[in-house]
Amino acid sequence: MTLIASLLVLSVLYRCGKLTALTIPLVLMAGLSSLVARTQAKVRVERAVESNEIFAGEEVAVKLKVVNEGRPLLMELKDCVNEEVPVVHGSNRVLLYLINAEDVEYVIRPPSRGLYVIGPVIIELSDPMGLWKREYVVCGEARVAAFPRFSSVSGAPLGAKYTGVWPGEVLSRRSGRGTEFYGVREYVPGDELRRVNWKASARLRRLMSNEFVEERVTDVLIVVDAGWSGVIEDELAEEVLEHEVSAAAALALALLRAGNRVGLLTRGEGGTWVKPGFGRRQLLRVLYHLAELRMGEQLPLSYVLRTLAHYLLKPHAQVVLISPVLDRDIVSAIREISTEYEVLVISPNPFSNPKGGQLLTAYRLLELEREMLLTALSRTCKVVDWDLRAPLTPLLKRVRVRRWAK
Amino acid sequence: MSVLEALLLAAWITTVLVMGYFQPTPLALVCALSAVPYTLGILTGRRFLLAVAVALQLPGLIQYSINAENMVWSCAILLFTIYLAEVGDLVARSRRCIDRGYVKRRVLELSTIAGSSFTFTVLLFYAVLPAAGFGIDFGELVAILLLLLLLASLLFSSSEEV
Repeated sequence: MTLIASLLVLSVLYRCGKLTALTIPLVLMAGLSSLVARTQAKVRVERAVESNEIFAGEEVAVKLKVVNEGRPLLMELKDCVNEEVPVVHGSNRVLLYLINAEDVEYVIRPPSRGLYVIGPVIIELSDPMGLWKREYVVCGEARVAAFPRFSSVSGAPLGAKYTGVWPGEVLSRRSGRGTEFYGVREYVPGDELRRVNWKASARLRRLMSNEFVEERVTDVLIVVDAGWSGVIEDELAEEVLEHEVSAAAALALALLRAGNRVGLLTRGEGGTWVKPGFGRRQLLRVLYHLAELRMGEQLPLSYVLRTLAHYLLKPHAQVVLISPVLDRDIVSAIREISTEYEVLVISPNPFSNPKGGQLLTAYRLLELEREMLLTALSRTCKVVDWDLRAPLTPLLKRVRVRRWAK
Repeated sequence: MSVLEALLLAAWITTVLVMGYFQPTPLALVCALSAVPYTLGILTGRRFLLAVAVALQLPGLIQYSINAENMVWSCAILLFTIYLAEVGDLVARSRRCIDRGYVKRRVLELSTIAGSSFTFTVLLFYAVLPAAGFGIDFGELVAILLLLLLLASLLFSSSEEV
């Protein structure tokens, strides 16, 4: 159209009929192109996503079934996918000459944790010359959750005074079935023979039985702190956050497997909470929330804990805080809640793997401050200083759990 | 570069050479330069580069048309240039997307449209020749034809909605 207009203007300027004549084939071409084009489409698209829940880095196949309920159609079909998500096989954009039905398949690989939206499916009809285009949305959106990747951990040192009724791994203050020695009492008919303490029986000249500490489940609130952005450079902060999230996911899995009720509280962009619960659904709930967590400060941790801990957790239950501890506010927050809850702080050290093997002076100062904060924290709760180059499990096993006296 | 792309490029260069042959050196150079945006347009799939290539061909074409006695050749070259640009755009799009018979069908449509346009143009030119005998200027005739064409396209243009 621009070309036709330009030629007409030139023909007027130069008063040349031949230039006007040049526009005739162009007008004919445009007219014929519009005549040939189809503007009506009766197209139905159904999308099937292989899996809506994956781990970051895994591949997901997306299948589209495109059905034409009208006359044959030339169209461009596009299934919108986030720009950051690479399409590894096939393509989400297809040029189709659709007679009846076609299957379109492509595979995406979400690079990192998060909630990804696939769709909507847009079909674009245009004339052969591309003079006009019409877009129609023919299928809605689908969501794929990419959970954080994590390796399993074990031996989380839980020392909560509150225990539930089900057998678990947390030492309760009751005698019963367990592995930890609790005391010796007189034999009661029905006691297993292997429980009889023969030495004590010989000394006291009556049958004595060993008692063990009952191991039960507890309630655990995992607190993930992602509200310390701006303290260190973004790339490093993101790396530490990924470790925090992985550790939280691994702990949630381990604790839920052991039968505990696990809840989640996150601080950062998209900060949220999940009330403690059991089972696979609870794990999925926790993973969904962890997938969404991004760096960003919203509220001070002390305020978050003070406000929500009572709402989410029973008194004397376990709080596991995962934070690099770069903020003085954390110490006061932990002091405040440690009177009522058993607290374990897992602190990934952002400075454990410096680039080029040397820390910047500013980072050295931050590291010193962090060490001071950890020392202050260790007086009120158990602290795990996590060197990010090492796995978490051995560090957790090294922490001593309080043994409840008889 | 695929065989089709190479063929398109060869066709474009041939057009450029034909156009350049009839032009003074500066215009011939401008025409020759159009091969660069055309190649880039095909390779990168950017439509505006193809438009630039067509625009670079225009000065030579206009010059040729002004001096030409027979407008049919000018129209043929213009149509062929636009046809090549459109096919180039299609080929470039098919690089980004999976093609399921679309390109072949579209190229057929474009060929039909270009061919029909040329045929109708020639027929129109020959149809208006007797009118010159009545003392009507060629420019006026063309303007009348254009108006008629625009009216026809308005009448035929569909306003269907999905």
